[in-house]
Amino acid sequence: MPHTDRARDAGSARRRDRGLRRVKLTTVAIGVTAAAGSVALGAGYATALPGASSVGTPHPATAPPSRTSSDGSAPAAGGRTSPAPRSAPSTPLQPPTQAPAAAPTTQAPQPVHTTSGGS
Amino acid sequence: MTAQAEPVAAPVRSVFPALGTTAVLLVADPAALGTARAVLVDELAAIDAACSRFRPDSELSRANAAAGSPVTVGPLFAEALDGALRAAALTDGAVDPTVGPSLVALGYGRTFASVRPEAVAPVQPVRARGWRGVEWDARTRRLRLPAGTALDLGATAKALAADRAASRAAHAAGCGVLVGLGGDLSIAGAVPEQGWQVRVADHHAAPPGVPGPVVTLRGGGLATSGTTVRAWRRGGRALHHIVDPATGDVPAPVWRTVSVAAASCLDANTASTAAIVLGERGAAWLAAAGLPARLVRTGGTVVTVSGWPTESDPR
Repeated sequence: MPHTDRARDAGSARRRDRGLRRVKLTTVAIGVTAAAGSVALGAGYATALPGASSVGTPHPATAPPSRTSSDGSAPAAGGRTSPAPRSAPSTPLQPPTQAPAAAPTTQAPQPVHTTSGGS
Repeated sequence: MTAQAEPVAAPVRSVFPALGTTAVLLVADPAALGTARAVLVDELAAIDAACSRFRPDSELSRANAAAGSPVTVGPLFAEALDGALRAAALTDGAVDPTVGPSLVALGYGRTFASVRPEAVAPVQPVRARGWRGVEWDARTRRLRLPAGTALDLGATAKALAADRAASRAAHAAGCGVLVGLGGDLSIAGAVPEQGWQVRVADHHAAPPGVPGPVVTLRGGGLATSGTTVRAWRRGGRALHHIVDPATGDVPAPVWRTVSVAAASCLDANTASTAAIVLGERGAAWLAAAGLPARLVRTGGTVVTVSGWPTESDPR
């Protein structure tokens, strides 16, 4: 029965082709997933290792855009005329919670503990 | 029977050479001196290994030698560099860590003890390359200096060391502590009842008889920058260790000393150094920042700002 044999062979071939397509699709999906995972993990570890980052590119040190001088004059030459910075402003210089007080004079003078001077 | 208060022991002190200057440690509880001193010695060794310009094996020297290429630095050096760059940002570059070549050009290329006090050869000032050229990623501690740039963290690193040592020592000793490094002071822990009595003078090692106002400190830091100490002569000119980064030369001689009180020694030192560099603008700049300060002109006239006590009672 040649006709029956040909029909059976054709059906087997279609099933084989469908199987091969499923295997191919599965292989591609696995490959894409693995590649994406490698990139994600690689980026994560790179940023976690000091000095080994390919993501956290060092940037120029930056500063607050406002001048700290009080007279409103133009900045001096050199390092004080650079372009506007990119980062957030630094915490300003902080005054003490309590200003220095004159040493007591109405009672017995306290011994001087130390000296602040040039060095 | 009347109960009598326990007499309060007077603070005790330890003085020893460190970082090319003098370290002073004051401890409110005499029994804690040894503990606090060990912390201070440890901190000084760490800051010297990280930030010394005169040690070829320091992190600073290695970073300077690698200028043009990236290097990864340790946590303490990173903290010192953060402090120096913040100082530069807050002073518009009046305090700039890239003055290393400027200092060398002025003759301060070796430890001060080995700097010749006088030489006839004229100086050729070298402008600082500028802190904005420093590529620094604080998160990864990755640093790249532009080729030809060299850092000097001298002033701010010393002040940072005083702050760190005082904080650590007070914690370890469990009492009030004052740490002074070359006259830059940091206070931590419980303050003695009468506060810390500090004389202000041109020289941090001035003998007791030298006149100068005495102030009471109860926290934070106090720094004095001066132009009469750590000074030398070249080509007939008087030079010193404070450089105007914009010119690479010493600033115009306006102030002899500037003393500033702030919440930390690092902030105080940043401000006092900036005021010397800013010259006539220095007093107004300090006043605008709200920092109590005492400025002494080269002729001796005293200017005080932001609540620094008047000097009706010089001792």
